Amino acid sequence: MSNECLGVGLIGAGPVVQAIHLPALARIPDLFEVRNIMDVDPAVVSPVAARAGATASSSVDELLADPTVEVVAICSPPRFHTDQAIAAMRAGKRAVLCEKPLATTSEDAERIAEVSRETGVPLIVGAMHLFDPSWAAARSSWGDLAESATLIRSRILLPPNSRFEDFATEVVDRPPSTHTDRTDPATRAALIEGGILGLAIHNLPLVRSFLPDGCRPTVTSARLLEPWGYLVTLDAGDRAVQLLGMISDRWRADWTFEVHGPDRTISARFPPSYVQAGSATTTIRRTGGRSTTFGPYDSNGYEHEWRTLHALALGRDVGAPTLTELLQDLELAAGIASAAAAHLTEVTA
Amino acid sequence: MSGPLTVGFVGDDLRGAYRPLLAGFPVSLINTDGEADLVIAFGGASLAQATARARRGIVLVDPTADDTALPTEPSTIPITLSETFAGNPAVAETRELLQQRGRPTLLEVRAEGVAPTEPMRDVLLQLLRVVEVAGFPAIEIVSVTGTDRALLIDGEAIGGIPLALSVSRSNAAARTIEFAAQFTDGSIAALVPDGRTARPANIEILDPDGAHHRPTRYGTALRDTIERLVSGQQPPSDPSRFVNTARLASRIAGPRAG
Repeated sequence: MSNECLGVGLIGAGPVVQAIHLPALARIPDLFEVRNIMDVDPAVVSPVAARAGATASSSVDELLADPTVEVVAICSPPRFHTDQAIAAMRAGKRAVLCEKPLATTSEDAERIAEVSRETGVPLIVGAMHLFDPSWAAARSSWGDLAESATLIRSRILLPPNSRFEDFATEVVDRPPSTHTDRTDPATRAALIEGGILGLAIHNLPLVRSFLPDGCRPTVTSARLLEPWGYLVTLDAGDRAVQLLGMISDRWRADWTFEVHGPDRTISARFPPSYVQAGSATTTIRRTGGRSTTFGPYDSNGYEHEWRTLHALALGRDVGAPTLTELLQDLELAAGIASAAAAHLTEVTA
Repeated sequence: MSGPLTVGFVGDDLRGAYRPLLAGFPVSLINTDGEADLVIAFGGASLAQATARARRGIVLVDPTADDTALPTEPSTIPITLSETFAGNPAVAETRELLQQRGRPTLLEVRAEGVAPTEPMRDVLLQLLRVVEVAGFPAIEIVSVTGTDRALLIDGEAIGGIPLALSVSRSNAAARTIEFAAQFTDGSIAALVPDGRTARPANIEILDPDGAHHRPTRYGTALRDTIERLVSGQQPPSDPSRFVNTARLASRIAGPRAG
């Protein structure tokens, strides 16, 4: 099987590119070479591109016109994802990786999917935990838990992102943090939407794996946590879902995903974002005290999402999420985010 | 009280499960089927029988949500409640640790490995009592989500501290209750096992400075209760708070009371 090295174009040069994608790509130099990095801010893109030995571009058109760019990763703010993903596909690139969320609305996501179908350009979303080798290994052993699950919990307790970005790299021009007025209902709604679409979204494709097809959970409670966080409860028919996310000054990251069923439980403990520290550790427990643990392995979800993109670009079927699944993931996330915001607004009023 | 003491048992067949624990007590407990200094009662229904036999005190083990008829006035024979989870000394130790920290930003309490036969109201009572004993009385429930197989409860403890309670029935997990208080700079948590086994409790302290302690505690609620009674440190319980909480647990469980 060919391990053709593909040229990468990165749209966006912020901390996600600097601390996640560039280090991840550096681990697989036989598969990818970073050729072009685009950002609207020349003070950021020049040093970042120089660090990667890539060309610096100031516009998407310029990057897409670069014939050495064969696959594109979209790491810009979410409101730009739709136009940029479509442009990359129309430019004849071989595959597109779009950071999450795929789009800001289900309609926009459907437009992207439509162009992917039309052009045949494969698309994946950077939901790295789906690609985590420990999670992937556990998948074959969880039996009927997808049908019998009763309680699903996503629990993400983190120190500030900057702490892990700084572990990963020397970040060029980190965006300043902004003060928010939590007494303003619109701000509160935006905060919880941001929490779901910015943090909870990492685990929502995993959550969806344990929901019945087409299930649209109802938000039964939603609250903001101090200093930054959310706690949202969902009613998904015969299963209950808890989404907890909190960023504070704690030093330890606790990033877990759990599913409980009558005869089996899964517990996955993921490394924090930005850290190239190997895979999750996933344990499946069964009746009678028997348990199986998968991982930790040396490689992580970021590396495997890039490996998956490489395989897709070469036309290989590697069991990547389908377009339908990507759309369902976005619909679930966007639905929860807007319902949580509405719930919070209702409670505040 | 001071040993040696005569001890009697009334109630259901849990007596067999607890007897090995009593055998290891650092005081002489002489088992008797007649009148006894101390009567250990399993279930509120056996309280009348215990009162008839007890000379100096009664320990009511694992009172349930049905035990709302406990005497709330001081009685001639003092009654001490011994709750497997809330009475575990690790919870009291956690309360002391919490008092040294600021206001938590979130309280999480989880019951796992709950058997299909355990009434939901009793499990909720256990959770709520752990929160109370850990130092957070006056709980307000905001929403209840789920079924009798798994519940998520959103609420607030005193001072508006967010409170997330959960119950999961599963044969695949050990029967435990975990209490965790999150702070802006760390956390304190206690994992309390079912007191009928030899598994110890664990307390986990995440300090702001990067320290991480995980002391193991082998005490159980019943052993701790009896030791305190014998040494005179344990005042008789005030069941009124317990009774109020039992009523709250039954209200939350509602149709899920099975």
